[in-house]
Amino acid sequence: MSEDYIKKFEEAKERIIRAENSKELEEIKREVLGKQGFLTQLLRSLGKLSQEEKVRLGRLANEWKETLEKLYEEKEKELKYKTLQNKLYQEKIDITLPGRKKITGKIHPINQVIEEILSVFKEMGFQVVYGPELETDYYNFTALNIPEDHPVRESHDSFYIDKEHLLRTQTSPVQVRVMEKKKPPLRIVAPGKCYRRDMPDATHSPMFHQIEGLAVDTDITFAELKGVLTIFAHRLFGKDRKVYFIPSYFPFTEPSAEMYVECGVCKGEGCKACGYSGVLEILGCGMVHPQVFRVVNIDPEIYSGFAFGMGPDRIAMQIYGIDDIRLFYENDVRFLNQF
Amino acid sequence: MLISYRWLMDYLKEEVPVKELVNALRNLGLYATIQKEIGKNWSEILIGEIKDINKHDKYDHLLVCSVDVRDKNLTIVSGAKNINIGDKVPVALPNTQILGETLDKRDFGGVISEGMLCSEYELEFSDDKEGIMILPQDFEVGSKFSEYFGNGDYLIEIEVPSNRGDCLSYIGIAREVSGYFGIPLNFEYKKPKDSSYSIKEFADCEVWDYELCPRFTLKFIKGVKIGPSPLWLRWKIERVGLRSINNVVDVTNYIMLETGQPLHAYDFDLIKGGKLIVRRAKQGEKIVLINGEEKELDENVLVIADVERAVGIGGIMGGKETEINDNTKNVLLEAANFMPVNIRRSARKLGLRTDASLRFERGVDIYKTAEILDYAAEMIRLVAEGEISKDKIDLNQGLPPLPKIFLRPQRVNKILGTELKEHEITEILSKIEFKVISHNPILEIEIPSHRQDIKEEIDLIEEVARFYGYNNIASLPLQKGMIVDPPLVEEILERKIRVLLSDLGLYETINFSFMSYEDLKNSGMLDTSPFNNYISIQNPLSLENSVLRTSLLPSLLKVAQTNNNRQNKDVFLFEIGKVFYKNNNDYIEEKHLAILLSGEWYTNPWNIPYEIRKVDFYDIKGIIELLFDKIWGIKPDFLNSTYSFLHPLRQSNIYLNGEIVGYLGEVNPWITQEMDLRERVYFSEINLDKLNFVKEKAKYKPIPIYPGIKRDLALLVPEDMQVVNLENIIRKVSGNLLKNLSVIDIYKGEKIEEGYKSITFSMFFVSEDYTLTDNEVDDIIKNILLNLSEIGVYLRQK
Ligand SMILES: [Zn+2]
Repeated sequence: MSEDYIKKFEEAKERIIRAENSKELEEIKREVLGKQGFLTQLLRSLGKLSQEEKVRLGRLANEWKETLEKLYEEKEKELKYKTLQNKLYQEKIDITLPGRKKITGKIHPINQVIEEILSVFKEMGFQVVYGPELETDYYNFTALNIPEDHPVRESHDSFYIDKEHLLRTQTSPVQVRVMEKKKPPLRIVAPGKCYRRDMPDATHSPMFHQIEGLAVDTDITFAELKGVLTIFAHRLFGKDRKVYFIPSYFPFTEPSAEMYVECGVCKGEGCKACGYSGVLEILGCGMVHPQVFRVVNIDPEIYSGFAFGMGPDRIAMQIYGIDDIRLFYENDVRFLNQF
Repeated sequence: MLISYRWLMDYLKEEVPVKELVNALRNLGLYATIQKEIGKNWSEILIGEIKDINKHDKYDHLLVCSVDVRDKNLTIVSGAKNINIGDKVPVALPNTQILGETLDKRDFGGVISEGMLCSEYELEFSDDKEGIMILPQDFEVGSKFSEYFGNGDYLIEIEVPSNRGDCLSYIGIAREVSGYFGIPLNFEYKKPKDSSYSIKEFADCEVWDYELCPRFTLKFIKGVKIGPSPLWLRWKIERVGLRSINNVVDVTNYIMLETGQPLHAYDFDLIKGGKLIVRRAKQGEKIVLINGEEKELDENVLVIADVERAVGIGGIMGGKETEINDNTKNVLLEAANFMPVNIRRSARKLGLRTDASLRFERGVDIYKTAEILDYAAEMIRLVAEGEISKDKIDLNQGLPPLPKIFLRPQRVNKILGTELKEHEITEILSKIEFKVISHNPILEIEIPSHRQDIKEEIDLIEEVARFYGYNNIASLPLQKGMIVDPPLVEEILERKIRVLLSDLGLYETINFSFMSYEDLKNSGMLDTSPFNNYISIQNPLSLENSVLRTSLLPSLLKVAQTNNNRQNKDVFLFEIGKVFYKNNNDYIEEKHLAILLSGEWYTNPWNIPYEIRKVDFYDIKGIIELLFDKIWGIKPDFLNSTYSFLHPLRQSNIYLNGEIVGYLGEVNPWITQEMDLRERVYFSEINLDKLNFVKEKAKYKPIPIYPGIKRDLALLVPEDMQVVNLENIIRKVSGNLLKNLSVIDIYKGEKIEEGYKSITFSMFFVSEDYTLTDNEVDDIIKNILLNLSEIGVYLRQK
């Protein structure tokens, strides 16, 4: 075993490490590890040696071979990486150009708001239900404790189809229809269109939307009414907004209330957006009137409940800063596209 | 109702700062807003006496006055025509703010004016701009205007709930404020200074209809002096927007504002026969009212009449012929109670909403009629002199005792979620004049006569809540759990459809449910049932909105038109909404989905060829197919239809299990051209009520492990033949080895025989059990071609 082989081994290692491209590397591989390579020569020359030497040098030759092969593989990977890297640097693009998108449309802003409102109540266990828009006088008024001679029943407020049928003026009849069919406990929200004989102007539309809510169980209290609707207001408008309940009058609830939320623009100081009142009217609500329960054969001595109704059109106007309700029903695509 | 803050404060033993008052009223459910602050400068206005008046040297229309304001005489130039030496007048000194502007010393042609004589308008005292305000002689020279009229005032608008007629009065509102703050009321009805004569010596009265007029009272005031009202009276009624007429009429208005009881004063000498009769009007009976209008009446209107004619419409407005006038000597004063519903109906029918009718509609306290009558007579005597009859006429059929209602304290807490003690509840109720009659075992409460809205226990609970304060009641999440009902299919569908279609590039619209007959006609739907079985609105706002829509087509066409007129001819729209129609005697209401496409779909990525393409039938059909697949997981059938509002050869019904669930097609260009729509319009309408189910959960099928074989087949097909015929044959012959069949090319023109078109199908065959061979597929293709040849379809030779 000569110094010569050791030198050749060291030299081979050096050459692999220094190889600059894959062509050179392949060449070195052939020269070093190929049939003409010094390792082959070394193994061939073993025949003349003693058994002991044979074993020792054989093992050494194999160790060298493994070392060189490993070096080769590492080098090969390194060179491949470099080649790819070089290629990638030829592939410059302008990342500020716009991406390719599918053209998409929009869900109507009112339905977006309705969806958002409903989702809050759905999380609190309310089921979304629907009712007819062409209603009977009975469900729209009588069953809701609005007697025959009540002012809101005057035909100038409602669109009548015939003596008994009208376009519902509120979503409240859905309450009655649900309570007729199902027994408590009940938690429902009913979105839908309503109709009143208002000449259209910036704040009135003869067709508009309402969301009605109802919860009935054995021990529902006014405190829970406040709680549920406060959670709702905080979810929709933000937790920092103050919520107020002030007494109001509706024939089908008692005690009745209106819920106001502190104006988001002026934080209660009063500004143009809130008509200088510092608050925004969000919804009407109250404890279900015992008379409404009696009509649907629910015993008001056992059950209590609360109901509420709100106008998503108005809420959408507040959320989006829209000052004319008629825009919603004009459906100018440039308007719809903004939401 | 508009009220004066100062006037309201007269009825309370302690003054409440205006901001606290507004807050309190809101907390009580009487939503209040300060509308205007007036007279901020009244403490700077002095009372002056005019000592001398001279004409200005240079200007004819100006007067130079010398005005005594105690410390000194001021020289003041004025253009007024109503002033005389000796008049007491309000004087503003320089630097005072008048109507938002600072008053300066001014030079009028060499005469320096050291102040200004003020009109009522300039002091925000009333709307009277004519002349200088002349003050009573007993006002002290040099004292401040505010000493007589207060330190300014606020006008507060209060929204009174429709069940609270009692709050259409200062006393009613003061009562609420008194209960809220625990401040005692400062008011009592004055008793009249009676003389010795009886009303019956002069006047007589009969009520013929006690249902419409349950109480009618009269008092006589002899020898009044009609004249202008004293300043304090004018001030009060004019400030809240009423017009001052004369002292007697002003008192009746004053007391109506104060108590909520409307009154009417007649010139007794003009009443024929000296007798009033409360009766229904005769059909066609006419009356000229004090506002000068003549009204024709019918039998549902209650009138106050003398022996010959109607002299007033009960509870609404008095008649011209018997009104108080400058010559009136003897006044017959009426305080009555009328049936609210009838007042409302009559007022509406006659187009007369008056301050009186508003109050009677909401309900006036029937127990106080006579007391207020006495009080009003005394007030008339105080401002217009005269002698009051010692007695009155009071016609009624007996007043029932005040109602009593039971109230269970635990019920209060059960409804409100509070923990109020019995004594806390009774304290709250007594503050607002509810009387606790007994409290064992439950409370029995006597309802004060002015609270006609309190009818049952829950009404009392609301009163407790109001005065305990809604803000003091806790705010809790729902305390009990429940098994929540699953979402309705209807809700799931609506939401999914909205998301899918908007993601596909469509804009959701919401349109009115009403349209006009013309819209229906213009949409070409008049000859097609059920679209022509429309329902009419009895009392529409206008003809444009007089018919309920039977289809969503007219609405969406109008939206397309609106957008077209605004230079947007590319519209991709949808709507989910109700349609309504008649079916025999039933009203049908259905939830529909409609899609409208018109104009150009475009894609404009910057580095692939810019593509603009007009939408066509296959775009809308593609959307419908995708919709059915994604939402319901089904393939509907498309079969020929014959709607006249659609293009005769480009339309189809959509069938599901043999039932029509909708239609699609190109809107007949004859219709769209009439609407000036420049592009072809494609439309589809689907009845969602017939599709009220959700997609079934998919069943897993193993992915084929054996390789499949793909074949393309170019066929020569007679021009009129529909693809569906070819597909049916191919599928039938191929059996279940055919996994995919699609049209990849349609070609007409060069190299294709006249009367034919070329259709290329792509097919993919796979077996689940073994590897298919080419021979096997060749056999299938041969078989397909054989079968196709029977309907005249051949393999296309290149
Ligand atoms: Zn604000």
